[in-house]
Amino acid sequence: MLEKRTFYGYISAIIILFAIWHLVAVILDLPIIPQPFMVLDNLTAIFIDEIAIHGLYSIWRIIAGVFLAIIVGVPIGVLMGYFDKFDRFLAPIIYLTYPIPKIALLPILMLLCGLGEMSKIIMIFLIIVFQVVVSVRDGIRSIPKEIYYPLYSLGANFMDIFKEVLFNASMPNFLTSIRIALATSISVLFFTETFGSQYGMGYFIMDAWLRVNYLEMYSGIIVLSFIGLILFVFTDFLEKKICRWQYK
Amino acid sequence: MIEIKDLSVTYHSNKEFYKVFTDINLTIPTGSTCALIGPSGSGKSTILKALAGIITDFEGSIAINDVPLSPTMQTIGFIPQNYGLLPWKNVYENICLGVKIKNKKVKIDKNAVKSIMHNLGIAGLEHRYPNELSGGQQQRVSLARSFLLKPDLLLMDEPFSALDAITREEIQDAFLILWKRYSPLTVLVTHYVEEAVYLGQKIVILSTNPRRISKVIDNPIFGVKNIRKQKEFFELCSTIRNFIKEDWTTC
Repeated sequence: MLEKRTFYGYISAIIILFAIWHLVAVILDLPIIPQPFMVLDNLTAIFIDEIAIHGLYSIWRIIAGVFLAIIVGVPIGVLMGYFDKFDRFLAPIIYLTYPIPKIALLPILMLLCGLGEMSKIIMIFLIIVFQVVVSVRDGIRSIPKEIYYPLYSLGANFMDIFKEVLFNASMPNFLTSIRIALATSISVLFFTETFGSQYGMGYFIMDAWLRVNYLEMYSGIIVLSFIGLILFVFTDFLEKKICRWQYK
Repeated sequence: MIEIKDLSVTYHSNKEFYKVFTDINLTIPTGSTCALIGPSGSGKSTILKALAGIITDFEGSIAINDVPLSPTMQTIGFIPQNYGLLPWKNVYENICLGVKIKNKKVKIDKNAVKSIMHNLGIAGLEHRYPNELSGGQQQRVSLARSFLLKPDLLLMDEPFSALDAITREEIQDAFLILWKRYSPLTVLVTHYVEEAVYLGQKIVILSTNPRRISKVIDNPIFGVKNIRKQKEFFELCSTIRNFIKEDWTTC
């Protein structure tokens, strides 16, 4: 999945970051900034028994939220990009709701959907779906009209146009939007998991903090960052696979 | 045979209507080519779009072999100015795209694709993407796509205008060789007199003001071997050029 060169790049970046962390920890010498090797020791000791289950919950919520955003966002984006009528009708609605800070709606969501999985997944969905809609729409709008002409003259129907043109043309924008949205969704996930939940990385980190167990807190932060990294790398991988034509 | 009767197209943008042209009448027999030549703004691309079924909002009638024009009923190959290749499909997929859309159930004849690619000198480029190709190669891919369709009507919108002079002549030759083999009814739009004389069996001169057909010439030297180097070719070109000079400046 990773090229050798990229892999070594990641390794050296990890070493540099840990070195800086180590330096800061040694200089400040505070319990709230433990040395990285102590954290890693702790992480390996408790990962399987204590952290893994929280990690799985977090991954599931992100994937479910992103998946829902794709299912809803892509068709809306495609329709808005391809049919001016849809855009004229929907764009004002999207533009008015896009800037609302969704996270502020969390209390309402929790009242409506309960404290369980649903409210967390819908929160991630709400944050990502707008970016998906707008980027897919813009991707489709940037297709030159001449691209369609040979297909129209062959009597292509909307499904043909979607399959041969719209899908591929919107992919690069779509994956970029997912990549940007993932970073936001991890922060949001952390926040939502600190409420009314017994599982999830957000819960684990906050719980360790409240117990003043800084080693566990940092272990949790590393795992959550690693989840983010895996999702990033996976999106990159998908882009290289699906949008290979862009890199030629 | 394609029959265009009293064709008028009106554009409306921002609530303003303006006529692109009025009452175009033209008949082009099956198995022949027709070159439309006109200054920019004469509506030549618009005529082509109407023939392609892209503009459907027109007055008058267009019929191919007495059947009203319809992109779903007839096979129409359209080559736009920028060749219309899809950047996310490789050469092979781009060539097959036309047939794939037209006959969803028919399996693509790989040998036919191979032979057309060979004839056009693009064999071996199957797995390249359009942005890895030169303009001339892209044009050849576009021609391969259209000829593979065996279209009832082949339309080309200034197909060779973005190419350099040498490449243009090479591809015009490649086109003619292929055309002689399949002889689809072809309408092409151009603003080069030489191109019109070299590729058009019928040459239709359009003028801007009023937008109409000012002259139709049956080209006696179409398809003659090496005609580009002969006196008749230059003479016909200069006759047309003189006519155009007068026609386009008087309007």
